[in-house]
Amino acid sequence: MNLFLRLRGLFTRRDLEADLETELAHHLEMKRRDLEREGLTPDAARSASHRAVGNTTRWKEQTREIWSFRYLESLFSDASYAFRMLRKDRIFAVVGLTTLALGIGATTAIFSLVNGLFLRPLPVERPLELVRLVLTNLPPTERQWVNGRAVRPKERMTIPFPMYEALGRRQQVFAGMFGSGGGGSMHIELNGVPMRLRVSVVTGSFFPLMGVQPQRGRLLEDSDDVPGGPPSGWPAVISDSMWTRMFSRSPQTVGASISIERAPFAIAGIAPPSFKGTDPGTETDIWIPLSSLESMFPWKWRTDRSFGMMLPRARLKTGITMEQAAQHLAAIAPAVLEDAKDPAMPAPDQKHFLAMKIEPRDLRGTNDRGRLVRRGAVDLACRSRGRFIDRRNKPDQPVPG
Amino acid sequence: MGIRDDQLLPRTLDLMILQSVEAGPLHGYAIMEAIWSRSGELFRVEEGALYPALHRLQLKGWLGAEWGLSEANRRAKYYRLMAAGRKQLARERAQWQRLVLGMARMLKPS
Repeated sequence: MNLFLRLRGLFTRRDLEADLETELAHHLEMKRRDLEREGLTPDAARSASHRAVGNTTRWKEQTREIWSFRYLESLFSDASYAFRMLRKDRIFAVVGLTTLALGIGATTAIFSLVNGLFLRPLPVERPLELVRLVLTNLPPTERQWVNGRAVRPKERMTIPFPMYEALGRRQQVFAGMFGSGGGGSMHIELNGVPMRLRVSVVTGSFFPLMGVQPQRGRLLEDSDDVPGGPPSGWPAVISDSMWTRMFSRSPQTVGASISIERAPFAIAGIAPPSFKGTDPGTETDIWIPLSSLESMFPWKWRTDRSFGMMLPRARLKTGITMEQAAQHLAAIAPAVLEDAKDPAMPAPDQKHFLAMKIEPRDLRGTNDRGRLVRRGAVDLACRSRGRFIDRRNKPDQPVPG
Repeated sequence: MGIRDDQLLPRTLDLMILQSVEAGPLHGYAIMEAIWSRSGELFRVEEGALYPALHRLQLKGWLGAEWGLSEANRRAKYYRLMAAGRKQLARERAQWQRLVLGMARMLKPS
């Protein structure tokens, strides 16, 4: 037993590395001496010995692996030691845990506050009311390709246009729905100069519901999003960054003509600075009405029941919480899906389709909040008493308790 | 008791190492030399196989390790046969001799 304790206390990770290095160095030195004795010059002996010993990385790796099992064992024994000590000294345990809990709670509260105020500002009205909608409980045959590998996704961000409309007809918890039909990189011609820019194709309700104010001119509205376009022609809204880059912030920009995918548009206004749109991960240069897609591509997206083209978003009615919205959506989902389903779909696929769920999510994106809190909590936990780690320095003492 | 094919080489290496340090502690390089010379230059162990094996045997408790000063006037890790290792050596030597005897009988021209 004593032997094992001594072995355990003998090596920490740093020591192991140093030891392996020393062992290797000694081996090389012995080899070199032998070669010198056999008649090589000191330099030749040195290089020959290096070559003879060859690739040392692999055996170092293997040796490290052998010892790594031992680390795991001592991790478990350290953990059980810690629990035993805590059980013995209840008061310390209570004080320690309370301190941690207070610290973690305080950190979380501060973080939430700061996050709300500073970390993710959207220059929109009452951003906490904005949600995006996703489909969950997807059919088992659904696949996405991530880094070239097929995975079964847990949720979908896009829905077909008929489903967007069906949802709009049946919902009761939103002040309104809006969305972008994706968009992406499109062919632009400005004053005869061709280029590609990031275009977002959005519903007429997009800007009004978000409560954004234009910097110049006006933003898109519901009357722009009609088949064929408004009488004055298709309007477009450009971003502040594009105004700087392409127009040098010229006051003549509003009213200028621009061609998008060979369809004519007129710049109706400029979005405020720092408004980048809501498409995940990208900055939008130009926003155009959803209906203008018909002028560019012959595809019948309004009636296409299978292609997920809309990224649906909504603003909650004042006073409605996310939980209430979630419950409501769960209740109406079967009817919405029934409206939206493709009758030509085979029966078993239809069953999976109708089983999907519609859920609201925070528009501001992913779990930054959770990650930061976890990191803070770990930091606090590490600052606790050194009592838990004392044992490392006294390997020869019998294990107490 | 049957010995699996993939087990043969590591097992023989372990046995050779344990045997080499029976007479007294040696460092890694010396063990390599010992195996070479005692086998009549039949078996050569490469560093890539030797050191992982040494550490493995150390972990099993059959070898103990201590730092010492070698003939090169440098720090070297000396491996020594422990009591458990001595027992293992005796066991494996017996097993090996049985194996050899059996094979010799098998291979004798009839």
